[in-house]
Amino acid sequence: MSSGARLTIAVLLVAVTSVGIVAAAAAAFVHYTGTVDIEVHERDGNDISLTIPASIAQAAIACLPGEAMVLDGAEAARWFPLVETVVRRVDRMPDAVLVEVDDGDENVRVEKRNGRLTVHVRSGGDDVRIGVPMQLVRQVAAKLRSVRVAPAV
Amino acid sequence: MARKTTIGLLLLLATTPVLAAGDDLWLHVRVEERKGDRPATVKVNVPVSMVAEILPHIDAEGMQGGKIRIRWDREGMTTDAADLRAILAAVKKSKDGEFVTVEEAGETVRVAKRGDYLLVEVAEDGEDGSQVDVKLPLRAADALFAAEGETLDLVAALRILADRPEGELVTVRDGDESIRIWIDSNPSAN
Repeated sequence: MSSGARLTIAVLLVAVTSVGIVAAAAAAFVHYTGTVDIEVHERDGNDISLTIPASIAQAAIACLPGEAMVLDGAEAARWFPLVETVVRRVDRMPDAVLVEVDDGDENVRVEKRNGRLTVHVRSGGDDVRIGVPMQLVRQVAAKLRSVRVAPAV
Repeated sequence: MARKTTIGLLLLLATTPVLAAGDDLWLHVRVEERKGDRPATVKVNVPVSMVAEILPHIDAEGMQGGKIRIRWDREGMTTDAADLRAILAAVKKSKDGEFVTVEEAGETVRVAKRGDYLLVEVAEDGEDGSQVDVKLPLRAADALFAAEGETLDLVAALRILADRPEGELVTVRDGDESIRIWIDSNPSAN
């Protein structure tokens, strides 16, 4: 085999290996950070199903300029510590159905399972399910800390 | 009905944080109601320690720093924490199982101690009248009413009742509606 051919094979091997490592790392990262799942099934047959890597949402939240986010009045801000505490405690607690409302035609279920917070709403023939990794919920709650509150006008 | 529910919820608030010491304990609330032919159910399951941690963050009218202000004004009569303290004092002087009865227009409130527990029964007059039953550890009741003025000291109750055993706290029956609040170690109790 000529030295040129050996060089070509080596370059190809390095390229394939690199692509494989990057793909494996990306898969592992997505697996580690989880996904945000949104499923909507409407009674008229329309279906929407979205699976977004939570890492993308995390990156988006991290990029939000918290100090530039201004809320009017202190009313909302005084609940931020409560929200943060609730999120922290839900994150620490074992898997459970937190709330379930069943009204015959309508059913709402909020559940923590396998490190995810799931909200499932069924109303008539409509069915909506949203699943979010707790890690992402924590990040949103932490972001609230940096929100600047403007005095009420 | 609103007043009975308020009494029940007040006592619930007083007792739930108390159980915070045990991470395995869960507070369960079940509300069942029949709307015509259809039953409606609300189920809430939360760790008691979570409730205990959340309560001090709630800053609302009548509740601050884990203390709750109580005062009922109804038909020209006012009931506040002082009245409840007087009832509690009377119950503590009475024999075990002997009810102190307070009769008001349209309803009867019976309070007794049985063993280490304070029992409260509120019954509206009439066959369809609502019924509220509360079972609260006596020492928790003492701690609860130790605060001055019109407030109930939830934190004090928390310290005293940290080792309260599992069990029923409040049951409310009002026609087609019922409310049950209890504590146990099962996250998904039914």
